[in-house]
Amino acid sequence: MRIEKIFFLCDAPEFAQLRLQDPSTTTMEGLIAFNKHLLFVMTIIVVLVGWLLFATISNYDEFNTQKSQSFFHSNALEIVWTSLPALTLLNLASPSFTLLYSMDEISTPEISVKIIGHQWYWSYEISDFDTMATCMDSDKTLKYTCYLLTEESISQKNYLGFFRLLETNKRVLLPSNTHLRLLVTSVDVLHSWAIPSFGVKVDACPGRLNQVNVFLKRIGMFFGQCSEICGVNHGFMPIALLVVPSIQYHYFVVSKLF
Amino acid sequence: MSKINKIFSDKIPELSEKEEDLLHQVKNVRTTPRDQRFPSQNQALHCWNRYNEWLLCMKQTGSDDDKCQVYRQWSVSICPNDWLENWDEAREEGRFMGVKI
Repeated sequence: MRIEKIFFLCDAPEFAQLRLQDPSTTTMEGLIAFNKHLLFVMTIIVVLVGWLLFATISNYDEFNTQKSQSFFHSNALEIVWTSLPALTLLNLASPSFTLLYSMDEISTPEISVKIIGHQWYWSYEISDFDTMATCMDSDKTLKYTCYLLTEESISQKNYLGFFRLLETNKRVLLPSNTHLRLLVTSVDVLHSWAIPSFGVKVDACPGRLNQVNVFLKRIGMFFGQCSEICGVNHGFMPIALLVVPSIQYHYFVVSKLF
Repeated sequence: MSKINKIFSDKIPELSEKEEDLLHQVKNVRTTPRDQRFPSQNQALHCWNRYNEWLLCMKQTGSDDDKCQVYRQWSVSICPNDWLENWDEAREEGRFMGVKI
């Protein structure tokens, strides 16, 4: 693997990728930790069950019941093979619920981002600065309409290092280390707004405003795709986010709006 | 790539006093606070309520824009622009289902 792939492509999918993308929120860190825990338990179970099956097949059969007679209708064995799976399930359920409820934790948000799914693109609105300087001025909304950047336009503009089918014509700027409230909705059919690095996947339903809270721990470029089949161009409505330090974000807002 | 690097490595420019003031204002902007009445994931009712609270304020103060600015901002912050336009239009045409001024 080339060195720049290790350092720069961790927030975007790569060819034949096996691992999860790098986390940028505590949610995703928790999900990855839970995933590792699950894999560990799964490995133990697979090895144990495999070994038991193999041992049973090779040691016992119809005509060789000498050994098995010693623990025929054994109470102790019954208790062990009932309680062991129960304890294993408890071991899986407890971190799972902890994670689930910690993901629902709501904090006081600083910025609301409205994410609207269309057939077939995403649009974003940040209206928190609308009435900051002048009253009732709707021009102060930060609006993004993000279409897929086609392969032709990538090569035409000589955007080296841009991803195929993942880049949009505008990247949404978001501040890091800020509590964000994401409100996901749709205007036509079901979509799903998903960013693997954030550990976020929210359905966009028309008439519904689905809220998620995220706290981005680091800066970077993050990519995602629509994750609910929504029509012919379902695969061609990517999400590209640029997360910058909050001070730079404030400066961007000032230079853009005022 | 050079474009991304530029954003990350740009120095923060010298700001005039006016810009400093604006930056300070932008820093202190807080979005619509969380409402205990709407703890669920679906915030559509929250948005609808905030919009009607603004209308209620307008009704009580006799359409005083300055006093109701906060409420307007809180509804604008969490309602999609499409919805707001729809409701504003409905109010103009007199077929609005919420608070009537």
